[in-house]
Amino acid sequence: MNKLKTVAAVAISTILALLAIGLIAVAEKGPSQIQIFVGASPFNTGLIGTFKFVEMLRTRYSMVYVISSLSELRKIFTSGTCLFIAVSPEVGYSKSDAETVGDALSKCKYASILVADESTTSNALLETLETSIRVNGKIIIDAVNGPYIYAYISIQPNASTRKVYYLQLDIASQLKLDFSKAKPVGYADTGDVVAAEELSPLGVHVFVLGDGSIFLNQVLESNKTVYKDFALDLVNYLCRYDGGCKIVVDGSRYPGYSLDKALENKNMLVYADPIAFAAAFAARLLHPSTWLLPAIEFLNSFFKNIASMYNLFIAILVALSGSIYIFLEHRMVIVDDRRLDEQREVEVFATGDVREAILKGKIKLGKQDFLNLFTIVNTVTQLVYGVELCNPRLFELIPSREYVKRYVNRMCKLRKKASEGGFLPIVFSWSRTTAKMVRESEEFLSLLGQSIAGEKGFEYLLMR
Amino acid sequence: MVVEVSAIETTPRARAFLILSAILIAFGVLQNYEMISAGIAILVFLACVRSYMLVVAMALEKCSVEIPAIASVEGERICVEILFKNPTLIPIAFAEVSIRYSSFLKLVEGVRAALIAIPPRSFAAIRMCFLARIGMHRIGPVDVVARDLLGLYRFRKSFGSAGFLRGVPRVSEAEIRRLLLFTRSTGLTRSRRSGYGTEFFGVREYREGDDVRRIVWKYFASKRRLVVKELELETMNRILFIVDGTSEMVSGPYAQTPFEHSIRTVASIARYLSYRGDYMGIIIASNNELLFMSSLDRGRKGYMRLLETISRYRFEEANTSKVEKFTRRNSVLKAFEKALEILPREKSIVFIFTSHGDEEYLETLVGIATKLSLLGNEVFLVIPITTTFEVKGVPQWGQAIYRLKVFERTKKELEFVKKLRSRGAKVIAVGAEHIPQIIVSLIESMKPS
Repeated sequence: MNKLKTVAAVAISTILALLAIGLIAVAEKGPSQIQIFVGASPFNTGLIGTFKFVEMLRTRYSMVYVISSLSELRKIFTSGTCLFIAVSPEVGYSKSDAETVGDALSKCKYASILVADESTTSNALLETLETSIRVNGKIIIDAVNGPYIYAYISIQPNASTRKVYYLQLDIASQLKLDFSKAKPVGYADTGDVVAAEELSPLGVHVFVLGDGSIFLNQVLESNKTVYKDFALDLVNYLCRYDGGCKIVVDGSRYPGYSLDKALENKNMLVYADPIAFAAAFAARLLHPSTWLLPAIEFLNSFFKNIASMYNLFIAILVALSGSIYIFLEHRMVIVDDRRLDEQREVEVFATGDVREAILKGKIKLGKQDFLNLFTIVNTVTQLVYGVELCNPRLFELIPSREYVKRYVNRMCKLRKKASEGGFLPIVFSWSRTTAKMVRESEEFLSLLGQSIAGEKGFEYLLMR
Repeated sequence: MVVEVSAIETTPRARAFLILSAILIAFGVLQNYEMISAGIAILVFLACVRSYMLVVAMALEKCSVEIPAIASVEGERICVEILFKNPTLIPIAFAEVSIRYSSFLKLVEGVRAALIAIPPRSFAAIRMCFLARIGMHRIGPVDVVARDLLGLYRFRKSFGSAGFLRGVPRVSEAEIRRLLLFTRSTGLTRSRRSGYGTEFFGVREYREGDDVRRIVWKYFASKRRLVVKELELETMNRILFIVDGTSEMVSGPYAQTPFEHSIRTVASIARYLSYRGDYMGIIIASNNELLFMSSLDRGRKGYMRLLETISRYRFEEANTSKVEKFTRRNSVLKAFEKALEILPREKSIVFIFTSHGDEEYLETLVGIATKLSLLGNEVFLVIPITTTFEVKGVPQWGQAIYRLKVFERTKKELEFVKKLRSRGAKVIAVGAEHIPQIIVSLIESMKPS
């Protein structure tokens, strides 16, 4: 089975280069401007934020929006039932802001506003909507509970019934209203009006609550479910029991603090979410603008310093060069660039070693070779004349020549010494002797019409 | 055509450039930033050269190599033109080529390797001349390495196609004429006597006991005499050659191996037989395959079929194949089984050409010869004595020494022949100097008078 090959679609070097470019670009752009929201902002997940209130609304209504600019209202409030919620705004509404809200709400078939504020910040909005209700700004203080007064608030959670909630408020403000136009729906134990509603001349149903604390995260997360029920029933009432109601929670009225500024304020941990703080701090640390420049400066000064230390400089130069080389080389297939092998021609021989030794002139003759020579000559003699080489009858059969006799006698003597042993001269070489006898044997065999050195050797005689 | 980038190989020369570039970059980082530019410039140069090489590689991928298949008679100088075709518009400037061919072929003219340039939409040719040899010999594949001008990168490609050079044995007319003289009285010639056969000899008067199917009824209708057709007595007009083509038979000097000598003998006899119109067949048993004529054939057609079978013998594989499919004994036994399929019921002559072997091989040969003889065939074992072949090419002064040194082997081979004879086989020991008619005369001499 073939192994699957891993192929990198983008080279690591390319990725690294892009990463470097990206880091420099991000560092160049500067640190991230993370805003930390405080107060009753719907972006604040801390104790006094209204993030949970928005989350709670989203469980019931599909169209719940948090805006950071009032200009967004134009796109949201286009038709149907609309509700604009402002909880303890910290930045006042200007006349144009209020008009923006009013204009947006005028496009809806049924429009409502919920203002939950203990300060006079939202009065400008109420004024623009031409209602008679105003937040007095005077904190109601009870002799028993101090600023944490109890109040009865009556609302109509559904079309047929009316429900009265008895709630403890946290630093609530009195409301001023024209009783001929507005209808008070909430009274504190002290008798002060804390909640009122009015249908403004612009056709907007305005509900004002002299306390925004009911909608804070810490209150909604408490064990008391009455606040949740009240908040949901109130929104349901203002939405005219319409599940398709478009609800906008205003997040534009709360100043965002930068991390540096937030850190200056020691109470900020109370007003904002500590986790948001930690995340913002981590993001700041990880941002290249925090560490890239110091790191480059450190390296720069480091290289400047080591230039004066010769040995260290050389070591680093070698190490760096090696690293760069390995990086450049690892993708390449480096091979020995030799010339291509040429085709070799061969000849196969069964007796190749003997042939090669002879052709190279490295052959040596020994006693055994002499015995072989004797056997060859003796066999040929027997086959031609019918007598052995050392048989005296041989001289009767072949032309009697002196050198033949000498040759035969010498061959027979040497054969005896080679096979049976005997005295040999001190300076005696079988190699030289055999070579000499080979020459003489060739001469002798030629008399018999045979050869040992010719193309057609003695073996042809033996083949018969 | 897609060329994988990793197929471009980097040479040590490019490595030197890389090292220089790495040093310059490192020095630039540590000391002088301007040197980084120099280092990067080298890298860019290398990248450019590599890109050029990639283009050349793509062109080379589209190139083709043509190697012709040629048939020839052994001993002739046969030339092959290898064409490198470049159909692209990219010139291949430096291409080193190495042409592979059977290591048992001898190049007598031309080169095995060369540095060539292949122009665009053109071709380059390399001419190689070989000394033709019996059998089928591979020419190819061709290895090509293309390099850039500085030799920084290279691309290697092997063109796997191979051509074949097919060699048939040389047979001279003079040899054939000499053969005629030697074979007058052997079974290889016709008897010119009436008897059992297929050729028409004449007619004679009907005698009692003659087969009525042989009566010539037309003659009876016109002359009112009963005559019978007489056929020419066929003696030995069906001949099968079994040639051992295993590695033991193909050792020896160029074109002088026992196998080639045997094949030459077979071809000479077969040519002669083709003139006579006799039936012939051949089986070649190698370690890897069995080559054979599926039936005996005669005349020129038979001779040509025999030569075609010989020319299919793959010489190189018999010598260099790492995995032998059959042992020598098995090869010969398979050839025997094939012979039984091919041989007709009538008496035939079977020649088995093989060299000496061990005792087991001897027993196998005796067994084959006996079985074939029992089927009514005449079997001759032709045993080449390998030392007589291998002595060729040795200088005269060395031949005597060679014979002394290999005497034991020669004795052993002759001993093998003797043992075969003692077991009743008709054996002819032959040497490299034995020409075909000598072999035939040796056979003749063995025939009882």
